[in-house]
Amino acid sequence: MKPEKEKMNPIYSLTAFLHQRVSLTLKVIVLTVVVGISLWALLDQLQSSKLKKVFYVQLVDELTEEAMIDRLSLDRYIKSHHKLAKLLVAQENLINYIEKQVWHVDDNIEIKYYDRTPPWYPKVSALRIFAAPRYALLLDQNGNVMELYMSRHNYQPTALLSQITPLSLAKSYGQSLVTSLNGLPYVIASRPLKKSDGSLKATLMLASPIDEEFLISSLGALTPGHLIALASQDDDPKILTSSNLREIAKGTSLSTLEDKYLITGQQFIDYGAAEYVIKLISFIPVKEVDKITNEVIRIGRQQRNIIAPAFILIFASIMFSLSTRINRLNSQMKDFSQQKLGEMKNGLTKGDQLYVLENQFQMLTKKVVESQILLKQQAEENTRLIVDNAFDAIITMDQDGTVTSWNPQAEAIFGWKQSDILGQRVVDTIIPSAYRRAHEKGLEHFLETGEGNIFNMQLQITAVHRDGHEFPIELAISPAKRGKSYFFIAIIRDITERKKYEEQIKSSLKEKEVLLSEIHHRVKNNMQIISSLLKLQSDQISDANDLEMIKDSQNRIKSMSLIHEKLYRSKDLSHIDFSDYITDLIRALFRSYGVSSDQIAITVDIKDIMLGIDFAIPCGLIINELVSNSIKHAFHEGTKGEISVSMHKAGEEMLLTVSDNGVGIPDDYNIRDSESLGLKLVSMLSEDQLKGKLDYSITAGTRFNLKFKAVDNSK
Amino acid sequence: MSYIKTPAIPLFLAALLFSIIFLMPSHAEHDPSTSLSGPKFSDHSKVYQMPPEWTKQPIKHESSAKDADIAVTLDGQLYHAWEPIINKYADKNGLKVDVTYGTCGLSAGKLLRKSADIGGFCCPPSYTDRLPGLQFHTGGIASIALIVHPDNPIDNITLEEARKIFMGDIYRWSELKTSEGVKGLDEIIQPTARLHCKIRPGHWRLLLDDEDLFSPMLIEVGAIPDMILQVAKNPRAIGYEILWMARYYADKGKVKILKINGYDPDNPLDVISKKYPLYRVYNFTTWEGEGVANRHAKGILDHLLNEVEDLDPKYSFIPSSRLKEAGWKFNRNELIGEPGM
Repeated sequence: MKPEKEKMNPIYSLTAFLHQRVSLTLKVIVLTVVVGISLWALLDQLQSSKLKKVFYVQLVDELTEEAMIDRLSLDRYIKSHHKLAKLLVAQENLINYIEKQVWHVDDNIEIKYYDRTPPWYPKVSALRIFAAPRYALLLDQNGNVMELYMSRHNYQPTALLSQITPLSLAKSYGQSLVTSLNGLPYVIASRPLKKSDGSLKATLMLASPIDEEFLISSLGALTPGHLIALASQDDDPKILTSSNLREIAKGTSLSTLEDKYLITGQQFIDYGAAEYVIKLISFIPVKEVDKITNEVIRIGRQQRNIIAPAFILIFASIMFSLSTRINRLNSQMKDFSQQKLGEMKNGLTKGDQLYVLENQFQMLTKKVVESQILLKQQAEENTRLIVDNAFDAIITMDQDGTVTSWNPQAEAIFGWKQSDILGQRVVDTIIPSAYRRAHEKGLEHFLETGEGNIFNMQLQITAVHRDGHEFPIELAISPAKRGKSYFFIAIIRDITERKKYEEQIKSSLKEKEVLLSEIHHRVKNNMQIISSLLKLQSDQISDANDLEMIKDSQNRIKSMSLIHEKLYRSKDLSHIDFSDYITDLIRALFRSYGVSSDQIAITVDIKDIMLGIDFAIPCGLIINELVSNSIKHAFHEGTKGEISVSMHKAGEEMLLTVSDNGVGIPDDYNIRDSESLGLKLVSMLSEDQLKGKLDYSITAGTRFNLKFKAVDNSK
Repeated sequence: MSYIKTPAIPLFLAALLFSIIFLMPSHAEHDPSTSLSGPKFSDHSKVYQMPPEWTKQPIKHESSAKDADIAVTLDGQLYHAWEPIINKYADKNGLKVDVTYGTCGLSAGKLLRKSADIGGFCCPPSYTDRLPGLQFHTGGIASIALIVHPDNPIDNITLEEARKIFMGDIYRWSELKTSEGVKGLDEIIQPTARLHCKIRPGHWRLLLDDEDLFSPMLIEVGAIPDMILQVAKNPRAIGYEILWMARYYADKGKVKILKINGYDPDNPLDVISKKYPLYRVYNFTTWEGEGVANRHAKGILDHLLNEVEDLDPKYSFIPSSRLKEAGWKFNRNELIGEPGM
């Protein structure tokens, strides 16, 4: 947030206005045009400068080559004086002329001047192939100038006539001597003309001042603007002459020309025949260079003039497209905000699209953050309410074993106020001394290995109340990690009352179990008494059928008595191991009927079936009847037989099968119409009491199948 | 014993000796091109006579050297090698020395104008250089190398062939063979010459005495870079240049140096023994006499003549001491003739 004082600042206001209120599209277009034009101007400046530099370097290179050519041309022109002199002395005209001349030498030597081609000199047209010396002189044998031809009228070579020395004459015999006469460079070439006896008759001397005309003639057609000059060699070289004295005047300091000209060359005129240091310098006026470079720059500028607007247009189009998309995004964000977060006040809708987007985004972000905080607060409040109102005590402990939270129920259970226990160690407050060592070791082990055998399960242990008494609790501990540290959540329930009830129930149950066992025992005893009574009574009955009946009744009572015996001997008093029971029952029947297992083999196939008394008694009676029938009627006397009893579970049903391999019952025999009490009893118990389905078959003996729904309590 | 005394035998031996001595052609006579060579040195005994007023004229430095204790003007080749040595000497001895870059002609000009105390020449002096009071001191000599384009297969020519090439008598490279016997290029030869210092003996005049002996097809160039440029650009060209410059550009692959008569210009022994025939003479000058002799000149000159022994080998400089040992002729410090001259 900007301070109010700053907001009052007009510059700030203008900046803010431009930043926030002016359309992005407009700003981008204006910016693109401004930056584009500035960039164009900058590039133009840079490219022009660079181009000029490149051109200058290029031109200097070219000028260096040009300078070399200049110097070669000048060399040739200078040397051609010597060559022409050689040629002239061999010319017949000159030889004949000299032969005829008798020069009288006295104190007043009169030089014969020619302003037209003298008779001893080649025609002007013939000289065009050579250098055209400015002066041709004939000297007598003593070195006195006798005749002088001047190719330019009225330019008497005063210096030449006064400063020719025998030494310079001698030096110019074999070469074009470059010397200085009155400060002006001269080229002089001489050749002797000898008499027939070899003595010197005369000397031909050709001489030219190296001046503006000389330079122009030596170089022929010069490139426009291309200038050459001769300069002295000293600390501040001066122009001796130039090919354009109006442009570069004699005596001009070379250093003053550096701004106006590209200067190169600066080589000696030398072939061992120059007595003065004279430098030949080539110049190109900077304005000539600029003329060339400006033309190239102009072409480049024209190209940029086309390219720059094209780029600006393309950029502006792209920005316009982007602005449109940003507008769309703004609109979508606005809709979303309104729909999901409600109407947002102070939201900008016009102005800089990016600013609006930024603004929308900031508001959205703020709203989302606020919502998150609210949700978090709500969640925390919910959690707090849950914890505070939980039926159980909920406490947390950090990995140092210190209590970090403590809900009201914990206060109620342990007697510790939250303000008192927070920051105290669990081990010092609520854990009984007997468990403290185990608690510390367990915590240590968990922190080292991440393993613990008390987590995420319900434990029943004892805890210590603030007043010192210990009481039972049910405890579930869950470890959790926050960052790199563990903390532990314990949910604790005081089970003092429950334990008390449990003890009472246990005690009551025990009493009932004893009572029930006693009942079963008494029922069994009573049944045994009934059986014994029947036995005593059977001693007084002689009729076999009656005896049979008594015996059957006795066996039926035994089968029921055996169940009660099994029940009171069993642990839970309500279920018996049916296999064990049937085995004992059949054994009792075999004893009752005096049958040994050698005569009738018995197979019991019942495994792991526990039945309650409601099913065990009818099933026991049915088996008792069917096995008794098989023992009594299935086998002829003296024959061996086999009886099988099996009971299996088939889904929700029990399948009880009793079979023998005896003679079987007659085909037309119907057990439901039977007069036999035993089979009637079987039919009645099967269908009425067990609600089962009984069928039988008589193939290879008799086979009874009974299906009924019963609860197996084996598991 | 009787026949020993017969006079016929001594007479025969005498005749034989006479034949050997007088009938056998001398080396100079056997070499038909010897007459093409110009004078190697000028007559040291001849001094160019100057007017008395000139002789009385003292040494007066030019304005650029007015504060100098001593003014030295050196030919360009001497300048490169000696300027640092002179300046080092000057620094060591607290002297102000003005050393200017120039040519033989410029040295001669300054000496004539009596504006320099010490001059430097890359040629033996001409008669006109021998001014009254001027003493020449030879620092040494260095080979002049014949150079061709690097693509030219020719690597060796005889001096006679070289002369004929520059005269234009041999005008195709195919008229020559390489040292392995391979024929030269089937191209017209372009001789190139730098005919500087025409009035001075020695240097290119050891090849051909006079400019008029050179081929009409000759291209004349004025400076070392022009010579190198001509040969480096033209596979048909042949030219010559002082060895250290030729070697510098040969090492850059611009030109190739030829052997002459199978001798390498790089071998000082071949030059000293005259087996390699082309060389330049480097001279310094000092003034002798009242009013012209500079008191510092002797010290600098002695230093230069001592330092020549340890000069950078790239200048291929053969010091005077070795020439003296080999019998080259000296008048005082000035080299005036080859051995046997």
